[in-house]
Amino acid sequence: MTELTRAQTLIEAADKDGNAQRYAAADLQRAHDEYADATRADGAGHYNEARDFAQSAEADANLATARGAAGEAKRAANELMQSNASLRAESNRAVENSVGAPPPPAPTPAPN
Amino acid sequence: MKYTLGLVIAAAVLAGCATAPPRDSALEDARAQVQTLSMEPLAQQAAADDLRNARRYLQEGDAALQQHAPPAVVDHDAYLASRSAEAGEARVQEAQAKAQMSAAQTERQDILLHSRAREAEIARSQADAARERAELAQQQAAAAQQQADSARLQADAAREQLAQTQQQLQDLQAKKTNRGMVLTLGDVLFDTGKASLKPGASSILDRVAGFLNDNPMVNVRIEGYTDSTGSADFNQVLSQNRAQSAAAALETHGIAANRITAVGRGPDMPVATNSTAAGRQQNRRVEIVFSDASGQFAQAQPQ
Repeated sequence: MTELTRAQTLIEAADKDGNAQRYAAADLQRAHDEYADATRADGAGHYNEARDFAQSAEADANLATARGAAGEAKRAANELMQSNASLRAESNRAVENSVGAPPPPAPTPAPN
Repeated sequence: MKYTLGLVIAAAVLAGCATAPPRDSALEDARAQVQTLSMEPLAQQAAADDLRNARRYLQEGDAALQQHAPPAVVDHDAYLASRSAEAGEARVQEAQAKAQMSAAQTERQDILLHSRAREAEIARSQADAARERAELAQQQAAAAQQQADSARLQADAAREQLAQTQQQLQDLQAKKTNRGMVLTLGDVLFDTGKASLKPGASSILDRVAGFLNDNPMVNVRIEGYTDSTGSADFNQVLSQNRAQSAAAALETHGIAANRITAVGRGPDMPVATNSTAAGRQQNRRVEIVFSDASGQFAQAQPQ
């Protein structure tokens, strides 16, 4: 069944990625459960039910992957922002020790 | 007429009922999510697939509802549409975070560039300050050198002055003693028993005055002496008066009075015996004691 295969591929990719597990563990677990239900239904010959479960598993695996990527991007952005804040503070201390130097550029807003 | 109007209204009501679409709350919730996602500026760019899938599931849900499919079928489409919309929302957030990341990287470059520029400015300032200090030190060294040269020149001049002074004193036939340079004038300056200077005294006192004018820092102490003939009081007064006569003569040559001290010592400290005429002549004398170039007299007492 095509839906089962697609769901399996997406779940495996999400498992491998690591970010889905870190930032969207519940979604990923749900995808696993739905995939198990799909496999079971398919085995029992309930193909429509199996197709629906596989579609849900695919949607949840896709969601887990997207949330994992978003979480990681936010983390990286936050880390760089904090690093910039430290760098700026260090730069400001240097400004205090020198006379007449203009201040460093203003910070960009932090990600949500 | 009234009947016709009633038919029109009834037809309109029936038509309205026939075209009103059936509704499913889960499907409507999902539609709202999709609508929200589609409003995101980054949705088309970052979540096109999710948005397309969500819309497709909404259409399938609508169709199922239209065909009076079981609620579970509609709810399934609503679920898929909702999850797709949420995935799209996450991808929009990812894109936003990446945009912020990119801005933060640019900002970091700005901070670093600014920091380096400031470090360069500080280094320049420090170099300028160091250069100024070096120049100042150089100027101070030059000034010190100039002062040393000046001091050396002054010392040379003082030495030369001293040598000249000593030469002049020697020319006056002054003798070096433990009281300093001393010029002894015999009794040729005065008549016996008198304190007024004889005309012949003028020449030697001219020379002494000339020396004192040439050496304005040098002071003199004029000491008058007598032989032992006569009373001690008389001799004391006579020697004092003779010393003062010599001092007055120097003052008439323009030597300031505060540079001259006149002392009468009577018959004290004879330089020869008073028992012979020749010895007494030697003892009747005036001595001019010269100070050093700073105006100070030697501490030694006359012998």
